[in-house]
Amino acid sequence: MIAWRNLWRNRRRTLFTAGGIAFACLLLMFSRSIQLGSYRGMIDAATDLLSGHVQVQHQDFLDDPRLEYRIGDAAALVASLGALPEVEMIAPRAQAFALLSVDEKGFGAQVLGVDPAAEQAISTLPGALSEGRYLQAGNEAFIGRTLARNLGAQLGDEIVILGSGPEGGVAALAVTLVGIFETGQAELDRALVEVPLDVFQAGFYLDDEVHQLVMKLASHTDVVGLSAQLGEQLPVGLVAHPWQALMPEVVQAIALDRISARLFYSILTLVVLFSIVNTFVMTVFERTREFGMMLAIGMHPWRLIAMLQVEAFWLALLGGILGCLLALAPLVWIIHWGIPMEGREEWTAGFAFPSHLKGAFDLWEMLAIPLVFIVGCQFSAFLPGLRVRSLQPVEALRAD
Amino acid sequence: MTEVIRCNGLTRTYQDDGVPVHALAGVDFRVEAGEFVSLAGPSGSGKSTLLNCIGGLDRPSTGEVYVDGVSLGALSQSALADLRLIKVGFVFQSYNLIPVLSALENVEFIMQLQGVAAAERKERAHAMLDSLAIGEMWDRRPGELSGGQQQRVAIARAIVSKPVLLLADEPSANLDSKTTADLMELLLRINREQSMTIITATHDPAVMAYASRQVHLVDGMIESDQCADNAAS
Amino acid sequence: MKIPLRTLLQLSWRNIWRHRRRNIMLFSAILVAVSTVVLANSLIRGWQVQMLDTVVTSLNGHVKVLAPGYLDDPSIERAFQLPGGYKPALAPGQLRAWTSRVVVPGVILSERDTRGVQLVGVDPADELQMSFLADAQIEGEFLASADDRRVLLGAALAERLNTGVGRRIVLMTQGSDGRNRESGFRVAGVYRAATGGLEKVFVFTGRAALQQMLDTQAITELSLRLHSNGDRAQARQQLQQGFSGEEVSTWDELQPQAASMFEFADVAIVIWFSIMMTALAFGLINTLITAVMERVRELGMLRAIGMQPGLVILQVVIESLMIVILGVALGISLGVFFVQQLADGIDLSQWAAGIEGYYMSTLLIPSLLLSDLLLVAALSLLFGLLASVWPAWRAVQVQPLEAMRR
Repeated sequence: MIAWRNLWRNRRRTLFTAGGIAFACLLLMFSRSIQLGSYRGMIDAATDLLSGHVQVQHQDFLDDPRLEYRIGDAAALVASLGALPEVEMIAPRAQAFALLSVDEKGFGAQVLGVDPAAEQAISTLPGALSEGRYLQAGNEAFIGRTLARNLGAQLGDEIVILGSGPEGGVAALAVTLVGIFETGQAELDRALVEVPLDVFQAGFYLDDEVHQLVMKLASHTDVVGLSAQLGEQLPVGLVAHPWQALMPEVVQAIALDRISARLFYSILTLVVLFSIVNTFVMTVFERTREFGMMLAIGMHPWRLIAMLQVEAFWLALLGGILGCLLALAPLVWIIHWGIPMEGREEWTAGFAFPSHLKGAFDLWEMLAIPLVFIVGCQFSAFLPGLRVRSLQPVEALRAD
Repeated sequence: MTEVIRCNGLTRTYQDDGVPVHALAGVDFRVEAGEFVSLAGPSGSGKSTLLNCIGGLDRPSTGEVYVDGVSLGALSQSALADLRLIKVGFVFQSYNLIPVLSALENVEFIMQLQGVAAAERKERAHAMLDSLAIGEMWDRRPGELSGGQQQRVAIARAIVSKPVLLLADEPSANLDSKTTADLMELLLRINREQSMTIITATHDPAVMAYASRQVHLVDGMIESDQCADNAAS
Repeated sequence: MKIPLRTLLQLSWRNIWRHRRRNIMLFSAILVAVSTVVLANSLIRGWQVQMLDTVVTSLNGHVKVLAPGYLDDPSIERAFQLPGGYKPALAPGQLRAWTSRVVVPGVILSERDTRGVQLVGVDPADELQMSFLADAQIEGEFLASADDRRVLLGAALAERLNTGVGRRIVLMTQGSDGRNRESGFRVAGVYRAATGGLEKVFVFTGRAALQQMLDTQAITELSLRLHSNGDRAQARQQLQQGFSGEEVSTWDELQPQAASMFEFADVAIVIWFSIMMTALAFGLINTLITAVMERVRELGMLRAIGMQPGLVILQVVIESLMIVILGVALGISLGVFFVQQLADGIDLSQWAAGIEGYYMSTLLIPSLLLSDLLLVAALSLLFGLLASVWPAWRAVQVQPLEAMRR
C-alpha cells in the first residue's frame, strides 16, 4: 500500500513510465496480432489454393512425382477417408507432366486430373478464374494465363496434350479450352492445366487410380498429428503428408519472419526496460534521504528493497493494463476487419494471400507481452534497489 | 539626497487555499541613497514580501514601486530580469550560490551575464573576494565553504557589479552569532565606504542593530519607522 | 541581447558532471536505442540491397530492351537485331556490363521426365558479369562461348530429370518459322544458385547455338547492368534513343512486386525508427523532467539574480543536448561496430526455401548508408531537442520566488 502511494507521489514520472510500458505493450500486441494473423492467412491461402491440409500419396511420389507412383482403388479410399469425422473434405487428383500444343505452338505443363465438383470445394484455384468458366465434364481444359498466352490459345480452342503413359506408351488427349485462371503465382500461371479426372485417366491409361487425395481437416490446429494418425490407417505403400511437408517454403518463410520479429521485439523491449531502470535509479537517488530515515527508524534494508519491488510491480501492472486497454480498439479492428491488401502485394512477400490482412488473437501470446514487462520491471527495480543495502542511515540522511 | 526607492500604497494579497492573506496592507515607503534600512517584524508581517516587491521578484496587487526612478509595474518579466541584473544585488538566506561554480566564478557570473570582458571581470572578482577577506578561497566550490564564507561570496556576487541597491533577506538565518556579527560589520563597511543602499529583512535583533533606520512591520503595515543611533557606530 | 555562450557551456558541462550517475543512465539509454536502431536499419538496408541484387542478377539487369509484345508473348517471333558492332551509349561511368540474349520458353526432356523451362542463349563471358551465374557453384564445366552447343542446367532441374554432367537431354521449342524444333544437347555443367527457384527455370546454352536451332539471327533481349541503381531512369532514356520499335524497361517495371517490396524497405526503416524513438522518448522526457525539476530552486535563483528566462532555458537545453549528442554519436559508433562484427553476413541457409519470397539470398549482409546514419543522427537530435525544451520551458514557468521557496 505504501508502494502504491509512493507511485502517486511523483505522478508525472509514474505516468510517463507507465505510458512507456503501455506504448510498448500496445505496439507489441498489435504487431503480434498482425503477425499471427498473417501467418494464419499465409497458411490458409497456401493450403486453400491447391495443397489442402493433408495429402495421401504413394510413398515415393513426393520426392519423385512419377505417373506410376499411384494410388489404386481411389473411389473406395475417397469414400472411406471422407467418412472420417476429422476430414471435412476430400478430393482426388491425378498428375503428370505433358506437352501442350495449339496448332504449331507447344509448351510443357503440369496436367492435373481433377473432380470438378470436389475441386471447387477444396481449392481456390477455380475461383481464380479470369476468363471463361471452370470445368464441368467432358474434354475440357482450365489453364493458366501465362500458359494460354504462350500457346496463343483462346477460349474454345482445341488443345492437344501429349505425355507418356505408365508403361512408356504415348498418352494423348484432345481438350477444349473453357477457362483461364490467373493466380499471380508465376509457376502456376505458366505451367498448370486442369482437366476432368475421368478424361485424364482415360488419356493416361489409368484405372481407378489417382496420385493425390487432397484433404481439408475440420480443425487446423494439429494437422501434423492428425496426418500421422491418418497415415496409420492407410493401405501399405501409401503415406499422408501434412501441408508442412508439402510446402516447406511456407514453413520456412514463417520461421524466418518469426526470428526477425523476435529480434525486433527484443530490441524494443530492451529500450523500454532501460528507461524503466533509469526511472528506478532516479527514484532511489532522489529518495536516499527518505530511505535513510526509514533505515534510521529501524526498517530492515530488505523491506525497503521489497517495497521498491512492489512499486515496480504496480507500475508494470498499471502500464500493462493501460496498454491492454489502448490495444483493445486497434485489435478489434484488425481482427474483425483487417487491412485491405489490394495493391499492397509487397507485404505478401510473393506468397498467395487473402484480400484482407487480418489479425489473430491468442490469449497467451497477448498476455505474455505485459507479463514480460512485469518481470522485466522487477529486474529493473532490483538492480538500483541493491544500492539500498549498502546505504548508511547517517550518510543517507545528510544526502542532498 | 537622491531617492532610490519609493513605494506608494502597496498591497499584496495571496490566495492560500482559497483564503485571502493580506501580506501587505497599504505601505508607503521611501529610501534615500546610502541608507542602511532594516525591515523588521514577526513572521508573516510582510517584510519579505516588501523586499521582494522592491527587488522586482514579486508584483504588488495594488500600488506602485519605483526603483531608481523607474516604475516596476510597467516592466515585462524580461525587463525585470535586467533590472535585477543591473540595479539590484540580492543576498538570500540560504546563500543560493551556483553549486557547480567556484567562488570566483560565482562572483564573475553576474558580470558574464552583463557582458563584462573576461580580464576585467576576473580582476574585479578577485579584488572583491580579497576585500571581503575570502580571496584565498577563490577556487573552492560552495560545498567546500563554510556558511559564513558562502554568505560572503553571495555578498561579493551581489555587489561586484555596483548595483544601486543591495537587498538581503534574512542574511543571518543560517549563521552563528559570531559569524553574523562579522557579516554585519562587513555590510556596514560596504554601506559606509561605497555609500551602497542596503535593505535587510530580518527578525534577528543582532542584524537590526546595525541598521541606520529601522522599519517595523506588523500585519502588512508599517508600525514604526525610526532612524536609530545604531549601536555599532 | 548578447548570449554569453561560453558561460552557458561551462555551466552546462559542470552540471552534467555534478549529476553524472543520472546522466550516465540517460546517456546509456540513448546509446542502446541509437545503436540498435543503426543495427536494425543496416539489416533492413542489407535486405534491400540484396533484394535489388537478386532481382537484377536474375537475368533482369537494371535496364532491359525487349521487342514490343514480348512480355505478353515471349516467343522468338518477338525478337530484334542489334546493328553490327553495337555498344550501349550511356553517360560515362554508368555501365557496368551488358549482354544480349535469346530467351524463349521451351521444354526439356530426359529419358526420365519432361519439364517446361526458359531456354536462355547467352554469351558465357558476358553472363559472368551480368547474372547470378557468377556466384553460382558449377559442377562440370561452364559454357565455353556463345557457340557452345551444350547446356548448363540448374541442380534442382537436373535432379528432377535424373540427368547430369555429360549426359544428353533434348530441348524442344518453337522456331522462328513458328514450327516446333527438337534438338539434342549434352549437359556441360550443373549450377547451384542461392535459391532453388532459379535452378528450375533457366536452362543456358550458347547464344549462337540457340539461334541456330531457332533458325534466326535475332535476339530477344538486351540487358544492361549499371553501377548505380539510381542511374536507371536516365540510362533507360538514353538507351531508348538508340531504338525505334523496341521497348526499354527498368527492373522495377519488369518486376513490380519486387519493386514495391523494395520501396517497402524504405518505409520499414522509417516506421522502425519512429517506434524506437517514441519508446525512447518516454524515458528521455521522464529523466529530463526529473533533472530539471530537481533544479527548479537553482533555476529560480538564477532568474532572481537577473538571468533572462530565455537564457535559463537555453542553458538547460544545452545541457540536455550535450548528453544527447554524446549518446547519439557514440550510439552510432557502437551501431557501426555491431554492423562490422556482422560484416561476414548472417547465414540464413536454414530457411533457404522460405527466403525466396522475400527476394533474399542465404547470406544476409548488413549494409550501412551514410545518408541513413545522418538521418538517424538528425532525427535523434531533433527528438532530444524537443524532449529537453519542454521541461526547461516548464521550469521557467515557475516564478523565481516560488521556485526558491521549494
